[in-house]
Amino acid sequence: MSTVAATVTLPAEWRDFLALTKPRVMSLVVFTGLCGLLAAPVPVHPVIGFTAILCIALGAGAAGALNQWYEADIDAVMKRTSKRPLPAGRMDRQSALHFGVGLGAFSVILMYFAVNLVAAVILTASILFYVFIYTIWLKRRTPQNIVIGGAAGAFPPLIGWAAATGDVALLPLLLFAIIFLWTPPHFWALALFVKTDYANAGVPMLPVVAGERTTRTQIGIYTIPMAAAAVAPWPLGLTGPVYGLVSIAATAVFALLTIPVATRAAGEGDAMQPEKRLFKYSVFYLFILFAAVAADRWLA
Amino acid sequence: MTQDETPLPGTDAHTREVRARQASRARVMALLLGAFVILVFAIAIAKMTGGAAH
Repeated sequence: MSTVAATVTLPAEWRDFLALTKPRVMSLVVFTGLCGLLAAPVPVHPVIGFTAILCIALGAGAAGALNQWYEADIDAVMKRTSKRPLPAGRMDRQSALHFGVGLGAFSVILMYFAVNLVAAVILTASILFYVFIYTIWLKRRTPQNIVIGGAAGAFPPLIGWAAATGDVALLPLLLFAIIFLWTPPHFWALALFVKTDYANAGVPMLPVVAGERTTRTQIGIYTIPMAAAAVAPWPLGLTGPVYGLVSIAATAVFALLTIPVATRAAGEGDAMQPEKRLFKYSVFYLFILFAAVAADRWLA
Repeated sequence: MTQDETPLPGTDAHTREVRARQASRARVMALLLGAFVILVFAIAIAKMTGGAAH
């Protein structure tokens, strides 16, 4: 980790603090957390439910802020992230650190007092995992960074469920597994078409370290357990046919989009359309799966 | 304001920009604190009616 070159002479604007929380990433986190909460068999008071989702969002925002605080040097050399508040010189690193720690502590304390201990403990684990295990330990050291680090993004449905029930059960664990196994093909599809960015930043993403062929094979391999986890809730009797049919159809499309990515070889100047298509669909896929989990509970 | 347009420290323009940003942040913080007070009140009412899992 190195310091950011830009000199900060003005206090950051509130919009920069908002940008620090990665609002776009947060939307998926909030959605999966909400679906975990709605899929629980226990009705939850709307205010407590709202507070739980707010805490998940604030916790994710804190993790995002601490990630940007630590990775300001990487962000500065990557085109995709160079406009963020720290590399762009709109905020000093100490403000980002204080904001991230303060927001994280606030989210956990509020979760404990307003919701319950189990949800607060899992929220703490998710923030610490993202910051210490993924950002600080794995990301710069191993191409397995997003495989293990994917767990950090998989916690929200567990937290949502725990907020409603005060407990953890098999269905939220399967929802955790779906996000965990979905993360590698999702990020490796992205890494295939922004490989140069990662290489310039010295981040050992799989295409940079092991090459494109290995990455494509791994995307294909990881799609198999992901598909199994995605479809499993129905045959296991944890959801009804609404989720079952949606998951089978959505997973089949995912598999169809994965096949060309896993089998082809991109030439010089390739537009990487199949990879971009898979990446875009993978986001939609997660939304549709989790919406189906919640809908299945409410339609049953 | 972009990075290129940032006024030089020590100038009046710089002081004005600092004050404007401080005022903007203070307004947002006031709104957030107000929302937090309302949230705490709502949580207290919800807890009194037995709305949380433990």
